[in-house]
Amino acid sequence: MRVIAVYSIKGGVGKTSTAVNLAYLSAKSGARTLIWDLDPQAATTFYFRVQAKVRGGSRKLVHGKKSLDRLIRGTNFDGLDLLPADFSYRNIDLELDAAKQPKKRLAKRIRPLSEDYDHLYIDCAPGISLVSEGIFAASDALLVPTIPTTLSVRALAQLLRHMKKHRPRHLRVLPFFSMVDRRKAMHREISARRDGDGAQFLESQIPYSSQVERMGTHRAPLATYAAGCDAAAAYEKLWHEVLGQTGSWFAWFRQDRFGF
Amino acid sequence: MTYVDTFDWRLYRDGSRLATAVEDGDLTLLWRPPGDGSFCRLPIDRQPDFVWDLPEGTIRGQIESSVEMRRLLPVAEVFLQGTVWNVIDRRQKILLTFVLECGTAVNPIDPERKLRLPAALRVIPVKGYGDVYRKTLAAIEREGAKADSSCPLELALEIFDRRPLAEVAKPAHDLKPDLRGDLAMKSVHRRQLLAMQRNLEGLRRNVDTEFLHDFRVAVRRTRSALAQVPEVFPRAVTGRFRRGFSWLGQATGPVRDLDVYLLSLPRYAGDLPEELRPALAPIDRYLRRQHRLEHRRLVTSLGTSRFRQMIEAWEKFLDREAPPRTSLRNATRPIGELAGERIRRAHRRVIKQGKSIKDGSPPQRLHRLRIECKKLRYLLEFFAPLYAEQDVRRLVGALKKLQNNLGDHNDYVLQQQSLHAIVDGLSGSGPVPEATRRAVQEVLRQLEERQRVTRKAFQSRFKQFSDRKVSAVFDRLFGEARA
Repeated sequence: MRVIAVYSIKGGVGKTSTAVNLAYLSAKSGARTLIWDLDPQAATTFYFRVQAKVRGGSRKLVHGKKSLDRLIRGTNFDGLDLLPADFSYRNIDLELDAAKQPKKRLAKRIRPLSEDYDHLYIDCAPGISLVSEGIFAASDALLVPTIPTTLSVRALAQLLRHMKKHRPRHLRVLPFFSMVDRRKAMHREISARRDGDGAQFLESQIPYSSQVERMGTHRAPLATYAAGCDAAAAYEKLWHEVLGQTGSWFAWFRQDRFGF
Repeated sequence: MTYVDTFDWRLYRDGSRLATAVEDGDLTLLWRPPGDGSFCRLPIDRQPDFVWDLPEGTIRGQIESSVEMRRLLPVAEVFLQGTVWNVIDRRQKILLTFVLECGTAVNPIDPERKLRLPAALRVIPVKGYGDVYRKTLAAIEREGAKADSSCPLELALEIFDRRPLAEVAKPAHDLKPDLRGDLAMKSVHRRQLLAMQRNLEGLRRNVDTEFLHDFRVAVRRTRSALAQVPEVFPRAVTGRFRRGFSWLGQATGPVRDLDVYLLSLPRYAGDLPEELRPALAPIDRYLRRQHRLEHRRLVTSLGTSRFRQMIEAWEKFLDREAPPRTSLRNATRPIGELAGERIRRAHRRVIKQGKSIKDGSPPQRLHRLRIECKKLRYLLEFFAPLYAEQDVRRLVGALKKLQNNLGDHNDYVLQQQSLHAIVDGLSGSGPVPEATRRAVQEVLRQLEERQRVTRKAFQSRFKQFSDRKVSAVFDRLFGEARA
């Protein structure tokens, strides 16, 4: 099972829409896909029309002995399941702090699911905390949506600085530009650079689009109601790029060993 | 949709289903994992014959290990029409789906046979909403109705009276240690003959390489049993059938070799850099052409009276009652004693030959050892019912590891030689493209490297097999004391 976390220190950068749309595309391609909503705001859960309530809350999530499988809900889409969020997830940090080997805890909870799913997408809450560290340890790739603005790029630089010292060996950090508004000079300028500040951005960029915002009214992935729009095509491209980077064992091996 | 499976129902036995269907004008692959209700879908561009025709990804990864190199054959075709109702909550989240399904099934063996499938009401649960599902089933039952859980494939197989699992069942093999040697060997041979007869039709039709493979294994076992357990049948009989089956082995050889090349070609291609892969296409075309030719030749051989008469005579001989008195040394000896003696001898030969192989020994020596191992393996398998299952399994397991090493080594050596021969054959019908030559060079280099690695592993594999613990089991089971 490939674990891909959509993560950013900064909020409002398009994490949820990225996670939802990529997970949908992954399921559509025939991969058994699970999306895990770890954000107490429960936006992903809302998009999939599932009740944001998890039996046992964050306490059972961290300390529970029973498999997470019983908390999973099927979505309205073939091959795509959801592990919903709960408001108590705002306290996961506290629960992890009380656990043994807190950073490895989430990875341990995920492991039994790898039989049933090929891809797991995690929609993370913003911020950097013990939960994020746990996610880093559990994931194969970290997709970092970045708006081409000073603050967003600064948040990415912060993350990369942190990663320099604390990156788990298997984790790949894949930043990409999100909510790119071509009408703004600053967006054009920043998004034209694909590297800089130690970051190597993916080629795909997600444009700013009102269709993406409408996911909230449709409560469905973009491709189900606006398949022809630019943003849908951009997500598709991003998905292929992420798959190319993370899909085959060889790609991983190559990246790890040779760094290209 | 067309359900596909291997001739021996590997997917069905795993509990999974694989099908292709045209959905909204696109060819789609449908796969249902074992024990799960819903299908995963994947768009594909052509009907797959083998697992490597599928795009790389989840579905292929999941079925690859069970399907292996077997051909995917259509097992049933069904045309389904359904009306779907979703049960939703106030958020319009689907909690349960009802499908009222009707359709027709077509028998792929006889496409003229079409039968209407009984209408079915399916209740499809959604993960995480088990309570809704259970309550719905209970409500339906209260009304005196029943939800249908059978899969359309099962229905189609049932109405066409095909029983997937029965087709792979093996007959019971019953040997008692005090059975007369000749009778016991007749029972061993009868099993092999049955295997040949079973695979004959599939081999003629060339639907899957496995038919020929199994046929050849049965022929080899027969030859091995005739040679390894002497003096149970009259000498004239043994001689006649040893010659006969040796001919059969030779007649089936070329097609099998070509099967092996065709099966390994995609693997070679997979190891090449992407830009070189298409360069192997002329080789593939050449091999296929040769295969058609050789297969035709083989079918002709199998249609000759020589073949028919030999099989008939062999069958008649096996069915004939054993003479009450005979001068043949082993005919009336109890098989328990005879088997131990033969296995002991074969084991001794393996150990002796293996020990004489040094790091610098030529590949032929390993090949000879490989043949000895095969003989030992067949004997162990023929006489397995005489001994404790666990012991035999352990010995066969240890032997298998050694055999795998020797088999791989031999394959790499042979494949290098045959690649040269193939390129020669290819150049006979026109100039060979430069890219193809380069691709072949690269494949040869890889084969050589693999040969080197397996050769290096030989000593340790042999050491494991000739280990004191393994030998002790041999001694205990087949040792002097027992005989």
